[in-house]
Amino acid sequence: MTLTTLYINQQIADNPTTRSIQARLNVPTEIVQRPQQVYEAISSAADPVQQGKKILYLTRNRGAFFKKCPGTSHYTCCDYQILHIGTFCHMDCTYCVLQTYFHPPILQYFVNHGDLMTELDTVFSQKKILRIGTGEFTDSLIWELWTDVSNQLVQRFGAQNHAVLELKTKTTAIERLQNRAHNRKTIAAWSLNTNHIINTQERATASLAARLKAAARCESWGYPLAFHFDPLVIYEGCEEDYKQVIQDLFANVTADNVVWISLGTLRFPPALKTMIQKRFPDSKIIYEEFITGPDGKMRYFKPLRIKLYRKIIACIRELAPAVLVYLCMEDDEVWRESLGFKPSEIGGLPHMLDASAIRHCNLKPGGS
Amino acid sequence: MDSKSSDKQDVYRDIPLDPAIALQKVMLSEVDLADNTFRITTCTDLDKLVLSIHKLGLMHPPVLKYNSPGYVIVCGFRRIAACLNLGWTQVPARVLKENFGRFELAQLAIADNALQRSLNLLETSRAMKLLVDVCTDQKQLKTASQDLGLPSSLSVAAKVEKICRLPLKIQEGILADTINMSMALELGRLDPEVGEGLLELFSQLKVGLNKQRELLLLLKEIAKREDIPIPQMIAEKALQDILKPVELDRAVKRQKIRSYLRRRRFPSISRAEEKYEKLVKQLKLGKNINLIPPKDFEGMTYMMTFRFDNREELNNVKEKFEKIIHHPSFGKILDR
Repeated sequence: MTLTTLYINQQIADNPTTRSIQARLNVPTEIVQRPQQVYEAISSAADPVQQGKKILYLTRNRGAFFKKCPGTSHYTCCDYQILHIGTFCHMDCTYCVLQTYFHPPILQYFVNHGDLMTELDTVFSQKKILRIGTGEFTDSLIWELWTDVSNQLVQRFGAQNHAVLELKTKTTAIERLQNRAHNRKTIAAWSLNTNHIINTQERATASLAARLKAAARCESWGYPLAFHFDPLVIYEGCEEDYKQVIQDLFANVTADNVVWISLGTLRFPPALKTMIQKRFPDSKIIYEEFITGPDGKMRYFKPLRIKLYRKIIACIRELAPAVLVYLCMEDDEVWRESLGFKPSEIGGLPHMLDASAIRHCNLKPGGS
Repeated sequence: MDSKSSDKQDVYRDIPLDPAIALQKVMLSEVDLADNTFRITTCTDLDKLVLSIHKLGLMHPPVLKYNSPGYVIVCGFRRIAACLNLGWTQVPARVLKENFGRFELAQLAIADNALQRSLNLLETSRAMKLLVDVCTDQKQLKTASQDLGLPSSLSVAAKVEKICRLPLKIQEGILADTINMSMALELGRLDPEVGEGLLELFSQLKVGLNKQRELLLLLKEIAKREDIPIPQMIAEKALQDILKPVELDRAVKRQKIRSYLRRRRFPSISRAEEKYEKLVKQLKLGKNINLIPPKDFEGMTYMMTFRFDNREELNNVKEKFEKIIHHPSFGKILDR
């Protein structure tokens, strides 16, 4: 990835994190008074999404660092908490919802870490079991090149026993996770897909083999792992390809060390279809059989989703029968048809995930 | 005086026409008939005009500009053609002085048409293109468009102006009312062969804009999904078997083609719909009961509506409900 300009909001120009990032980046810097100046620089480009990936805007987060995952109505949500460290991503996946989520999309990093840590302390003081991730509005590890955020967070989470941090990525930027006092309170997680999808739809991401190798290294450093097959993309031969990914996965990592595996088929807001047609005219992923769900998002026709989930779950069960597999944003019918039960029958999806986190990450519910 | 008359006065006000000096006889052989730079009209029928000039003479001399070695027509393309048709060798014409700039010439050509009658879309487009080519900035373009009764919104003007740059067949499709501007522009974005093939299909089926859009979307997405060019798809036997039979009514063809394309684009969804329809048929609901499935079979909630005029009919509905609930096909519908 090549950054062309670093924009710094004047209010945080003297922040030590700002100085540190500026020193690590050898790109022209522009101090701005207002974010609109950056927005204009992006919006005026022929491809604002591409432009948004080439600039980095350092600013302070004026809102909350903790947010509840937006989820979507009518489907079962995992009750995840988002730690909002920054926005957008320099990798370029065709299906990335962030392309239409932010207006304009902008690679933005919040440097007021003092506020972040204060909020984190407040959250920890509640002593509630929480699953917190930084990989919702950005990739968790793309910031490793220029910042120390993961390092700080891993150590902070490692010093308490109630919450777990999930770092979700498509990169292999794990070097700085080595020799950290993580105390198994950080889950190293990868988004996985078939080689075909990685090669054709996930521009500038690490290869499947590299991701699995990175996962194996994290496991060797004592980190619990998680994997997200999201989005699962339907194409001719996909079932065999996903089977191969699962075989490769468990050839690299130990099933007992996997906290959870999520499955979610491709879904997107209608606006993303136009974006994909414009930015990735060769991509065919939007031409499968999609319907508009009750939440307004496009998703595969239900029987097609169930068919793919069943195949993948059967394959995981064969190799790792005890690993917790869950579905991301699906309804009770799909759960029942794919996994044989619906979450409410065993306490709900958040409870299932909490229980697995407690077991794998040695969390202490309600204790000190 | 209506606004158009007023516009006309405004347009001519700044143009130093001096008929006494400029009116002269011009040899028709010296007029460049191939130069259509200033042609606005799309009308090719000359019969009435020929008859009028034959009986009454040429009442309004064409406007020409000398452009060595001959003359270009600024106003009066049809009049010149009619005179040639009558076998004339020369016409009285107003020949503009050399100091007329491109902007003034364009204004004259447009005013001669736009301020005397309603322009069709293609003529409006030609007029807009003329202005776009000669105006030096957006402000001048906006003012001139307004004065000449053309679309003054720059975004609309930009779209309209593209029409006359489209392939000829697509322009003809607009004139024949087969397609409107938005569809013409959409077809214009495709390869000419594809655009013209679709135009032919729309013309053959006589479909309205909404159906055109639906067909186009289905064809485009099938083409992408299956990696087949659209013309090849249209030429396939399955589609030609629907299109060709002359005895088949257009409405039937439209329905069959839509249904064929939809099945091809959404095979699983279509199969599920067909299966559902078959099961519903087996329930023999009758005309007073309607069963509505969840949209795209995504949700789980079905809806049933019933109608009745009196107690007896309501009682019949109640009895029917009992039968439906225990009917094996109803179980299959719910079990999916």
